[in-house]
Amino acid sequence: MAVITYREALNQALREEMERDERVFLLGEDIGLYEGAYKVTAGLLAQFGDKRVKDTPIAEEVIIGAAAGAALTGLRPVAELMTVNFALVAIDQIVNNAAKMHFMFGGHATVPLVVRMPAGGGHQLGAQHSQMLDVYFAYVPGLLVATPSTPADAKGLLKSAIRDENPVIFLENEALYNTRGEVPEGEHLIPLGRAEVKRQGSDVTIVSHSRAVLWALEAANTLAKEGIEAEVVDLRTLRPLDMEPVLESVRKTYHAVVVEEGWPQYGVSAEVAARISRDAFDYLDAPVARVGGAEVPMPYAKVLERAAMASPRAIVDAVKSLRQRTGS
Amino acid sequence: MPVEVVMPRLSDTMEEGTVLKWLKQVGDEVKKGEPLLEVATDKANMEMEAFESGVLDRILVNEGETVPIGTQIALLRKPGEAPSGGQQLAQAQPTSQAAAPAPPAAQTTQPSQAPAEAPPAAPEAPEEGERVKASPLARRLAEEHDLDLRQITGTGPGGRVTKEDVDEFLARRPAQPAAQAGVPTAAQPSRAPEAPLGQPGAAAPAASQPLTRMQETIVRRMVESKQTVPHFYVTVEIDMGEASRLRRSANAAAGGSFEISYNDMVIKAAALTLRQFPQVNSFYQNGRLQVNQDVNVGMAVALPDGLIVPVIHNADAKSLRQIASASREIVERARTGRLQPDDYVGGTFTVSNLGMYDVDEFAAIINPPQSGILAVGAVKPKPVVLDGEIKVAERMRVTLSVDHRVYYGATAAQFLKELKRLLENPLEMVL
Repeated sequence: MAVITYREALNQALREEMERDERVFLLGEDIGLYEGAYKVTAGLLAQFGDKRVKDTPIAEEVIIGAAAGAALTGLRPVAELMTVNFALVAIDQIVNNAAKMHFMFGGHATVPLVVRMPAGGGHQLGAQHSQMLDVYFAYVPGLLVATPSTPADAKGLLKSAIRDENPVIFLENEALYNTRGEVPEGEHLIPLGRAEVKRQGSDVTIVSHSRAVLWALEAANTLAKEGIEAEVVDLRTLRPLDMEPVLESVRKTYHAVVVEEGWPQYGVSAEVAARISRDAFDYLDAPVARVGGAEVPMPYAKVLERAAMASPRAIVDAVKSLRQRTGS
Repeated sequence: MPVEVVMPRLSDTMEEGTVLKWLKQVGDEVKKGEPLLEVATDKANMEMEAFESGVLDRILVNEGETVPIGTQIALLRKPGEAPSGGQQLAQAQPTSQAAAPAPPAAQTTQPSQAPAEAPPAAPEAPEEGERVKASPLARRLAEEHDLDLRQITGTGPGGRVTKEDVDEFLARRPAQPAAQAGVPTAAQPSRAPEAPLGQPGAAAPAASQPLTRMQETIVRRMVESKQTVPHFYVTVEIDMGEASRLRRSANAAAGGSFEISYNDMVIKAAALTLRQFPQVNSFYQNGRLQVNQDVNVGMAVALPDGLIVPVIHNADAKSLRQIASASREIVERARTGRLQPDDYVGGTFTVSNLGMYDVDEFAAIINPPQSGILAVGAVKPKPVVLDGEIKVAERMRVTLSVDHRVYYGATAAQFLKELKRLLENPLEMVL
C-alpha cells in the first residue's frame, strides 16, 4: 500500500470522485489557479477545467449558499473554506439552509453538499484563526460531521461524504496535512458513523478524534513504558456518533479519558462522557476524565499557546490521576 | 472485676480499627506497656499496648474484624482474679439486651460511652446509611459477590473503593464465600461465632432476617419474571438409554481424566437445538425481539442461601468434553464465590436440573430477558410400552418454560422434539 500524506489522500479522493461522477464539482477561494491554501486541490483545475473547479470571491456565505443551491438542483458540490474559522460567516447558510431543507421540504429536497475546511490551532495564528469549532456543527441535527485523523481515514471518509445525500461538514486539521500513512489505492470507502479502535489496550480507554488521536497514541506509547496499556478509540465522525466501540472498550478497561482539541466545556468530550456514564455506568471504576484546550481564546505567544493546548503529557496525567491509588 | 480493653483512637480521623493480630493468647500474662495486639487504622498498622497488667481473659474481637473505636475488644483480669469462664458475661449481656429499649446496663469503665452501647460482638462498622465511597464498578462487583462495601478499604482517589480494592479483598478472603453468602450483609461482623458474648439475637426465636444482596436480587428478578412474563409449559419424556450407554463408555474411556454428566449432555443437546431454533434463543426486550447470535447456556447452581446461573458460552460449538470441564469449573467457582462477571453474564437460555434430588419433573421460572428455561428431572427406570410389550427403559422428563410473547406452543413442541431426538441419538452430538 502506498504511503502518502493526508493532503495527498484528500486530493486522491477528490480526483477519484470527480472522475467517477461528473456531477461532483469544487468551489472555494483560491482552489483553482492557486491549487488551494493547503494545496489539497493540486492539479484538479488542470485535469477537470474551470467548470468543475471554480475559484470564488472571498465571500463564504456566497460559497455555501451557491453550493447548497447547486446541491438542491442535483449537483454534488464540494466547497472548500480556507479554515473553519471563516465558516462562521456562512453559518446561516450551513445551519439554517443546508441542514434544514430536506426536513422543511417534507423530504422532497436533498442537499448532497460537502464543506471541507481545516480546523485546529497551534500555529501561532491568533485567537480568531486557531479554533476547532467542531461542536458548532456536530450540535446540529441535519448535518453530518467527519473529523479524520489519518490519511486513510481522510480518503475513505471524504469519498463517502461526497456520495452521501446529506450535507457533510468535513473537518480537516492544519496540523495533519503533512502526516503520512498507508492509504489504499482506488475504491476505499469508510462509512460515516463508524468509530475505530486505533490501538488495543486493556487498562484505560482514550477516546478522541481528529488531531487529538495522534496525541492519544503518543500518550499511549508513554504509558506503555510504565506498564499501562491504553486503548485508543478514534470517533472519526461526530455525527453520527458511534459509541459502541467506545462502550465496548470501557466495559473492558473500566476507565475512560476523552480528549479533544477544542474547549471541553459543552464539548465533544462532554457528550461522550455523558454517554459513557449512562451506558457503561456499572463498568466505571473512576469518573470519566476529560482533556481539552484551556478555556480561553487562543493566546498568540508561543509558550502560552502551547500551554493552552491539550497534549500527550496532559493525557498521560489524566490517565494516571484516574488510576492513582492512595497508600494502602 | 475484669478490665476492659477497647479499640483506641489512634489517630485524629480514626473512626474504626481492624484487629490484625492478637500478640497474646487467652490465658497469657500481659504486662502494662507490653504489645497486646496489632491494629489497622485508617492510616497505618500499629501495635497496641496493654494499659494495665493482667491476664488476657477474653478476646472479644477476632483477627480480621473491624469495630468502631471504643468497642470492647478484650478483657484482662487482674492477677489472682478468677477466670470469667464465660458464663456471667454471656448471660448478663443478653439480659440487658432483652430489657431494651432501655439502654444497656451502664458500663462504668468505658472511656467512651456512645459506641459502647453497641453490643461488643456486633460492631455495626460504619453507621447504617453512611455512604461508602465506591466506584460504580466496585459497587456492582461487591453486590455480585455479596460483599459489604464497608468492610473494604478504599485506596482509590479520595479513599474510593475501586475494583482493585474489591479484587484484593476477595483474594485475601479465605475460601468460604459460599457460606458467607448466607450471612445477612448488615450483620457481617456477626461471623464471630467464637465471641463468647454471644449474639443477642442468636437465641431469639425465629427472628426475621434481612435478605442478602443475592437474595434481594433473586426476589426482584423472579417476581418480575412471574408477574410480567406470560409463561406456558411443555413437558416431554425422553429415553435416555442410549445417552446413558454413551456416557458410561465415554467416562470409562476417559479413565478419570474427565467425566460427562447427564446434565452436560442436556446442555449440549439444548445448545445444538437452540442453534436450530433461533426464536427459542431470543429475548423480548422493550417491545422488540432480539435474536441472539451466540448460544450461551446458563446452568442454575444452588448455593446455601441462593442461586446463581453461570453461563457456558457458545455451548453449541463446544464438545461434550469441553462442556463437562467448563461446567465443572463454573460450578466449583460458583460454590466458592469466585465467579467473574464474565462467568454469569450473556446467557441466552437456562438449564435447571433437579435430577440429582430424584425429582420426576418440575416447572422453572424464566430468567429474564431469556425466553426459555428447561427444567430437568431425574433419569429413572420406568415401564414403557415398546412394540406392544412392556419393557423397562431409562427415562427422563424435561419441562420447557416458555415466554409466550417470544414463541408459541408449536415451536416449543418442535424444539423439544428435536432435543429429544438428539438425546435419544446421542452419537450425533459427538460427531
